[in-house]
Amino acid sequence: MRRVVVLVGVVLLVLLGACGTGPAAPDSGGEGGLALAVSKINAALDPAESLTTSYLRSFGAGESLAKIRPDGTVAPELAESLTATAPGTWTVVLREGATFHSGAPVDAEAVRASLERSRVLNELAADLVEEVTFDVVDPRTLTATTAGPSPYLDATLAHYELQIHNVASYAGLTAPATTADLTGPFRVTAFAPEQELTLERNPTWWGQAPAVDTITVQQVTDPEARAQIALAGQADVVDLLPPSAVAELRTAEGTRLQGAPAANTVAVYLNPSSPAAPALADQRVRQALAWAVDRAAVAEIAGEGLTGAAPSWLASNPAYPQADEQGFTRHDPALAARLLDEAGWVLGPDGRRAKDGAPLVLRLQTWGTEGPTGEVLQAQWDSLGVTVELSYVDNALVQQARERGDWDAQTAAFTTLGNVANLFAVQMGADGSGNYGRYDLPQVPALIERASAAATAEERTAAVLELNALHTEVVPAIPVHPRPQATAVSARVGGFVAHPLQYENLVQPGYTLDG
Amino acid sequence: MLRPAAVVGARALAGTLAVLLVASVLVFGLVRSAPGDPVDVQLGEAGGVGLSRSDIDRIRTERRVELGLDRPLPEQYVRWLGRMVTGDWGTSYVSGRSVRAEVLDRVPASLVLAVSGFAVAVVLAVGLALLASRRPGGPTDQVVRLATLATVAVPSFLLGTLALQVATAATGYRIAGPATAGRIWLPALVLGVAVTPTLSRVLRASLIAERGRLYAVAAQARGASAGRTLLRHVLRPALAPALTLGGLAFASLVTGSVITEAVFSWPGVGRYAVDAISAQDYPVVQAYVVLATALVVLVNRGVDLVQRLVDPRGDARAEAVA
Repeated sequence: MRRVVVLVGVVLLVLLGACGTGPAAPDSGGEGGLALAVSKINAALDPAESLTTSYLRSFGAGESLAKIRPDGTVAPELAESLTATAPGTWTVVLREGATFHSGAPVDAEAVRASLERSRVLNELAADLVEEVTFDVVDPRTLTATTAGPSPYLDATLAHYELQIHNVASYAGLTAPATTADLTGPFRVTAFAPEQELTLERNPTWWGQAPAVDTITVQQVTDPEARAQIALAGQADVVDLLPPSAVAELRTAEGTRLQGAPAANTVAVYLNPSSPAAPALADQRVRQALAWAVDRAAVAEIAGEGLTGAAPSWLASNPAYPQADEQGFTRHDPALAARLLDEAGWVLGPDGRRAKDGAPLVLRLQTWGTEGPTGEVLQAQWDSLGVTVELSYVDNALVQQARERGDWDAQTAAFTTLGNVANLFAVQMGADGSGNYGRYDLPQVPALIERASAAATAEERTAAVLELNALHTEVVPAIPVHPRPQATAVSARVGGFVAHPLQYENLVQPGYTLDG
Repeated sequence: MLRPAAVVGARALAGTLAVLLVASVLVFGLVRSAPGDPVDVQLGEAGGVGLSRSDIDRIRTERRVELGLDRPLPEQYVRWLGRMVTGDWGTSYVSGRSVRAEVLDRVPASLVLAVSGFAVAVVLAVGLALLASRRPGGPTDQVVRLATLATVAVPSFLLGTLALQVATAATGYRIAGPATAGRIWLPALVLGVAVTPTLSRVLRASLIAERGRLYAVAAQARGASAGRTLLRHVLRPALAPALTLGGLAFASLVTGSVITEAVFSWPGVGRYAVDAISAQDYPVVQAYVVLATALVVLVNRGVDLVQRLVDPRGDARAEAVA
């Protein structure tokens, strides 16, 4: 028996040796070190890999030519300036002396090569810079030219899919990249895919040197475990905390709950062609459902008070405060009831609405973090006499139902920051990938054209707001609230600035550390 | 008459291969019939970038061709099986890395957790079964029964989360990090406690049954103490049914301690497989299921061998029947 025990002990030691080869766990980052616990770490370090690039940016490794400020406006980043020098031309002047992490200079040719590599390897980047030509003018200057006017190109160049990287460092890759050669304030020193990433201050960064020396990022997929890490002070920044932990985190010592509402509008998309809910073909019914939503209550209950109301789709974009005054700016159940009466869906003695003997029933599918929103909406619409059959499903089922056309209402959240005209085309254009209900609105193409190509910013803004107003009139989707963001930041971290883009809320170069 | 060892071995091998083949067909069919598409998962909310529906359709078609998903299912299956047989488990859709390398990278962490958790379970189960079987129906037996029932009733995620909260507050246990000796004790304890009730109940019943047998009564009649009778005579044959259960429990600990791995951020294969299922990463899910099946089959064969060592009467009985 003793031999068996010894044998088991030896086996355990060998196995521990085999699996304990990763970097040591951080002790809350230590002095000068920042520790992050995040829901996901990228699988590779190539900034041309679509949809993994946001991680590189969020951990302070990558930069684009421009960046989105917390107020939704665009500011130069790796570029010293981006100027619209003609309707279809932007001139980009690079920062003097900027270098990649490897020390190679960031000149105009390197930037052009980086953008072209992203265009070739990354479909999403390709879409962003479709029909954009990059030309080198001199070592610090390049131009971006489009066939037509491109007033939002600065916002496009701020996208994380267009991070500037040293193409030479990624040449000849035959396997996913495990090193990164970018330009951000921190550079990668170690990487275990989807497990751990460590970074150190980039001594050659063009900006003011960050106060943080090192960063350790660990992937913790379980939200409750992340909440425990935040409560125990085992990480300085913890993202995507579960709603169940919000109350405890608000009162916890040593950590602060942070997060501006995201520039993503959570909305209920409606299918006007649903055979199961023919009422949705009637615009008055869709409007009634929108007026019946008490957005403040939804935001408070489902969003744990971390978000507010979104009366219109664009309202989550801080650059368009006018959108807060558009759309469903109040909770008006009386108007909702009247619209339903007008549409013929009248209240019966059982408190349910029906038309020609058919009850007003709606199947609402929610997924991801939007389950609680669906539950509150179900209760609110129930009080209007609308029966809501709520289901919380996997995203795959949501997509399958959409492809089959067998759906009535689904929650989804799209970003509202960026090339706004293009984002509206996604939502309302006949071929828009977010136009789930396939609404065909003849006014939309002309409005998008005006929003994209009008001569002045005022005219473009007016067109954007017209599109937003049209969205609230037709109601292809009922805007409810910006997606809440719950990030825990330890008290020793100073300089945190809440940002409406989730990936900007993790590592910020202006952090200071106490103790 | 004893069958030649080669025949027995060949039959065992053929059985194992048949089980693996059936498992491969089942997992392939199930994975492909699940709703959704790995390409859609990869594209995510691509609308946020501004892609039109026709752009997405085009990209989807291109990616499906790249991944070979446009080919007929039987062809996909044969290609995949052929690669698996030659040791090429494919490439992860998510990471672009070799599935084999990714799985083998995570197996040690899962194995060490499973061995540790199983060791905890064995110690607890044997201890509790010995205690409970001393006086069946007595106060100790009742307390152990209630405790094991209560433990069974607690879901693994709740047990793990509660343990995490207590250990973090009391000992400063580090929740996130690599698989190291300093972190293993808590998930091992939770896994062990979760497996203990079933093991201990089976062992208790077996101990009580063996104690009533003639050889045990005779041993006591010859003057052996109750403790000596238990340890020298009863325990070994009583282990046989618990061994079968323990073998299956061990296999499930290696391959299926998904919740524990997620709660404790343990970088094992279980969590990896769950992430792959969410991402519809077909090569990973398929390889994982086939390997898990192989492990279960191997453990079962191993249990058969150990049972023969522990209680050779089984062989004698089988020969008598033959």
